[in-house]
Amino acid sequence: MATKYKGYMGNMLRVDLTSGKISEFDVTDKEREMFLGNKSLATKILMDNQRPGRDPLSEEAMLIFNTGPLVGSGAPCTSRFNVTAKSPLTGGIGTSNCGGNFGVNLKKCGYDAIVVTGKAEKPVYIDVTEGKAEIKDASHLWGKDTEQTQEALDPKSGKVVIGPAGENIVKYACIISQERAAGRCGLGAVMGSKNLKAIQAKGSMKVPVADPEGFKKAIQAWISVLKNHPITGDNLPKYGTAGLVNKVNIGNALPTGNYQKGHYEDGEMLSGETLAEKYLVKNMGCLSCPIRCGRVVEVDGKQVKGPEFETLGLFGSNMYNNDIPKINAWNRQMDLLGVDTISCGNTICFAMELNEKGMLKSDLKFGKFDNIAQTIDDIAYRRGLGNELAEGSRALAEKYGGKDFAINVKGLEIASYDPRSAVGLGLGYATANRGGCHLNAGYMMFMERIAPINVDPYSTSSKPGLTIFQQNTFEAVSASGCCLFTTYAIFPPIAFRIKPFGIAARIVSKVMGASGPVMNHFGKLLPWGAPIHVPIMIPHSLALAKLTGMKMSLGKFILAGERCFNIERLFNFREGVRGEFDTLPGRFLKEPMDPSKPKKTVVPLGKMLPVYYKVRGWAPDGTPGVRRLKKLGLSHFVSKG
Amino acid sequence: MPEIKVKFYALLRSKVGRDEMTVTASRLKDVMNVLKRDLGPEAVKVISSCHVYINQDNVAFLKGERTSLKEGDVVHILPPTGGG
Ligand code: SF4
Repeated sequence: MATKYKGYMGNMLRVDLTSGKISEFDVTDKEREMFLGNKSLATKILMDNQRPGRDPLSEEAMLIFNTGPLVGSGAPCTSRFNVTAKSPLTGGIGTSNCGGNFGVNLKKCGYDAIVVTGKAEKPVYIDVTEGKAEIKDASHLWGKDTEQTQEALDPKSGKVVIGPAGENIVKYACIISQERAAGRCGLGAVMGSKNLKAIQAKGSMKVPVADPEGFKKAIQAWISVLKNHPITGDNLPKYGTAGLVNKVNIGNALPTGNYQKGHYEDGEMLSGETLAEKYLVKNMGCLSCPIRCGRVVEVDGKQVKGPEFETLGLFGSNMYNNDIPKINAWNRQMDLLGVDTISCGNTICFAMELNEKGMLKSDLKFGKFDNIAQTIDDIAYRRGLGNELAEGSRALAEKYGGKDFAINVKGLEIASYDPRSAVGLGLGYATANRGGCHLNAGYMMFMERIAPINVDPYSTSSKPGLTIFQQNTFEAVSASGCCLFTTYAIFPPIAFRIKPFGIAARIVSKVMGASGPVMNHFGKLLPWGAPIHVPIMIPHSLALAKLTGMKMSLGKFILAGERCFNIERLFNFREGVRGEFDTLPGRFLKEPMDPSKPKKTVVPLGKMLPVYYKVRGWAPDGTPGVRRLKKLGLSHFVSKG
Repeated sequence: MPEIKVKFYALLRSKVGRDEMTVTASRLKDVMNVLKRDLGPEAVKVISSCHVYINQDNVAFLKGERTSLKEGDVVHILPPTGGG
């Protein structure tokens, strides 16, 4: 093993599908310290090895499947592997995280990552076993859906596969592992462009641990925090992510009629409560997860994965549909075809509004559902109008107009939250490197509407600092190989004893709102160098220290997250996705959600963005500043140009 | 006094044993007093960790329990939820 750090297998695979050459390589320990793993280290590999301006669907394009040190370690919620490439949908960084069984099994084969380049002449899959990989013929798999493909491969292996959407280069095709998806940014299309139908991995190696006793103790305490937390121990297992529908709807942030409104009269019918009461068979979880937020429902008599919050919003309220069984069936269909439900739902709703406004005549209409299944199929197989919808909402707006209500950022369709009712989330969406993603955005919804103590969702005060802190923390958690839902513990159980509408919560919230300049530097107030961990809130840094043997602290952990955010930003700049792309659809900037409060119900992005850039140490045009990059060890990327 | 609909969500529904009830109250505090009087201690404990909205506004940004109510207002009581 080439690394002094445990938690890693110390080896990576490079597979060139054009030449058929398979080789091994590794990153340095310095790079592990700086980037940890997953999306962060993958972006570094991409920056170093892929020439600027390459077509993401070309032979030269790299597609990276990477893991983090915590993956397969037994720590909670750590089956999360990442897929990274230049996104064919956005032209910027494309990263997507997945909870299926592939990452854990890849590490069991002795590899932390696989980097795929080139294009096979005919369909192939990669078969990875301990210390070895082979490229094999996949002609018999081509055309099969994601379930049939997984069933046709070795049942004991971990797999990633694409469906017909990936084969047909749908710009938002996803990659599936078990019933989980690396959903966003069209990485399934990159796989399809390489004629790569699947990768399977089967091995029995164990992830090495630096301090087995210390690590065991750390993860036991961590599991207990998650199990005793009102969100991760109670609400998420019972209602899944759908548990948010009612709260978001009441908070006027549930997309309705292509985000024309934030409240849907029939929201209750789409809620986690209704799903649990009427349709839920059981809950399920990714490997090693004590939370188990996944839903199992029945479609055509078969038990299948149920919809997430995002899908309920985008195929529910956003098209005026109150019928969960329909959404269950479309969700299943999209999983089988390998289509990202967020981009797909968003693009269909955009086409409905285009039709309503007479800008693109079609059969797609708000409140009409008998053609949705056919439309999803047409997208996956690129037939008729489906062929145009397969390019995403930005491309559709370029052809037919309607840019202001094509709900994407940087080309990536946004998640199922309207930022006019959570303006910090609006800032996050605008600055997120992969585009309209609530998670890469830092998920300010949590601070603005979900946490026991909220900051005023309509105020801009302190939002830049809190957004940056959240974005950096999320990046670090992702880079370590852990599910982002573990970050709910940032507000520990004891915080939920505070009455959210009581005087104490209101005072704290007012103080947070009034102390914008201090809160904006919140992240910098952390004692970066001190070897401290705060496992009751952010247990990841302690677990990483015990697992890897790295000199890790909470400050270093969050700093690694900031480094990750910045290297993705540098990748975007290199590919031409610059400061001017840090914006939102016109609908959110100009159309008040509540005409009686016009100032309050648009996103005042212009007020927050300059402060955000300044706190990040970036220039007024959003260019990452050399001084901050030096501190992060990234300045050489700027001098290289 | 105005008639106010109070709606319960998520885990609170099973503690309260119903989805909603109607009370007459002119301030949120009066609603809370009725709930304290009529619901079991377990439900009251859960309510103290809930977000409370009047129609679409979080009362934490209004006047808390001193917020006034008018005929037709709906009070939503929402336990901690997560997702993403
Ligand atoms: S919380 Fe949900 S998404 Fe995260 S690891 Fe567990 S089951 Fe998977």
